[in-house]
Amino acid sequence: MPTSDPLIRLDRVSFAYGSDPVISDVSMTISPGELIGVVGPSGAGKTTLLKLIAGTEQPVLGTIQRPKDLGIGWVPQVETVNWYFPVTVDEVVLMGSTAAGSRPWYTRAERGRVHRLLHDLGIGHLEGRHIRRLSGGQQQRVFVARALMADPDILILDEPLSGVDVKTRQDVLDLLASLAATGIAVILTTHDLNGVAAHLPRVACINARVVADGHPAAVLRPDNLLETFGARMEIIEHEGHPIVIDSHDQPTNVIGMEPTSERNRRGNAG
Amino acid sequence: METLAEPFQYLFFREGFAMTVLAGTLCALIGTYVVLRGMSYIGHGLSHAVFGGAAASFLVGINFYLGAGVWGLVSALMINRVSRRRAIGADAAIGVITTASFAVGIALISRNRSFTRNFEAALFGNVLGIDTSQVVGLALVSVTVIGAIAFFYRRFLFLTFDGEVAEVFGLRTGRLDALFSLLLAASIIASMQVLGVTLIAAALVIPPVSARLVTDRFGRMLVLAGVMGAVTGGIGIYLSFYLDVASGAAIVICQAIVFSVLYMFSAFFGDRRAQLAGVETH
Repeated sequence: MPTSDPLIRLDRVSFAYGSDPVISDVSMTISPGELIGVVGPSGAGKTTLLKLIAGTEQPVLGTIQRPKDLGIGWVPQVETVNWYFPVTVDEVVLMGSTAAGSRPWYTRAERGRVHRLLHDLGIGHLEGRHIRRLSGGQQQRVFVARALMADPDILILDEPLSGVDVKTRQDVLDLLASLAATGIAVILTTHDLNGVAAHLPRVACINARVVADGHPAAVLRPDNLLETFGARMEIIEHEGHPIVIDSHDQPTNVIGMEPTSERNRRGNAG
Repeated sequence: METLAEPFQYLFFREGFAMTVLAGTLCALIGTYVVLRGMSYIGHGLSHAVFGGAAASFLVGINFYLGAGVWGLVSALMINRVSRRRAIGADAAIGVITTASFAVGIALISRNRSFTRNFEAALFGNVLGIDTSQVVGLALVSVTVIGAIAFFYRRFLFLTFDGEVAEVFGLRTGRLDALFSLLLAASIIASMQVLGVTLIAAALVIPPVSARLVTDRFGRMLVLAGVMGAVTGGIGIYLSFYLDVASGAAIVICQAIVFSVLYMFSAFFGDRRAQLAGVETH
């Protein structure tokens, strides 16, 4: 459960790559045990926001407060991983305890911890397997295990639900909820609005700036989604959870073509 | 057996044998990281860049290793720096910096034709001109590089697999990159005499790629590549002796044969390892 003292505080943070602003005037706090989903269109600055939180990018304006000894676990986008690299599951997880000053060799304690972590995550039988020979859900778990090896205070996941099936999506979100329950702050980016609505207690809509931030029922509203994505969406409610669906409004005629329904009507009339 | 032992009665062969085995091992070990970082072209480029430094050091009368070493290191650091700009990329950075450096070497040589012959050895590799100090130099570089690889094994592995994420986990990736560039430049300079500028790239790339065909584990790939580099270095010097061909060419031909055999073996048995190595099979 989240506690009241924030772990990380972003205060009016702005960031730009060269002269292109990416993040503008973002303020938010992240507390231990929170589970936060960040949604927004491609290019909205979601990954940059994660990098600012992790400290690998520095704000151009504003401040970010975080403890000096903050433990960070990062789970990368699967698309950025070189799946042909010659490493097995255990070798990847052992990277998590590799930092400046760590011993040159793997200790017995580290190997034992890898074994336990993989077992706890339900992939203990995959320890010596090459990373290419894993399913989507197993791949996510391996990289979550690597992040947990770093004893993180915050777990940062970049698009963990990208390209996974429904069952894997549920499994991953359940896993993250259980990790948050142990006191680890978890923040992830995603395009999966309904996955966020059903599983996460907090969602932030980002499009360079924070459009809305809070409980999914309060944040996932047509006006916020229009402002965030530039697209009209409708919200229906199911068992207390908002469900986002594409709007059935007539599409805007942007390229000079009349809608198919109109052509059909005229064709039938003729 | 006598035929095999016969060349060892010559000092130049004993020293040449030691040099080729060490150079083969060294290039294969450091080449494992080069290949997996997708920078195979850097070996080719950096050896050509060092050639410019070697020519300049001859001209101004300073020690070859000092001149080529400083030149090579500066080139490697510049490549690192320029390639961090995503708009340019590693391949283009290597292409610009190293060919410019090689061109400087060619220009210097063409104005001073008196040392053209020495540079033929530098281009294609020759064990005849070796002296004991070069063997000792290569041995020292080998011990240093192997020691660094052992000590930084975990960090280099993480850096090679995913440098950006390694930084998040607290690795000082900038320093590690600089250290790697230094080790690579030192390996190339120390191996230049026996392998030759134009063939070092092959010695950096072929043994690791061959090892990748037979294993999925990084540690095994590293060791296997080193062993292949040493064995092909030893066989290569024999071929060089009996066939009277340049040592660098003989070693690289041996390595190419090993790669071809392993590739055909894996393709014949329908093994997916070739695919895993990133080698196109169609």
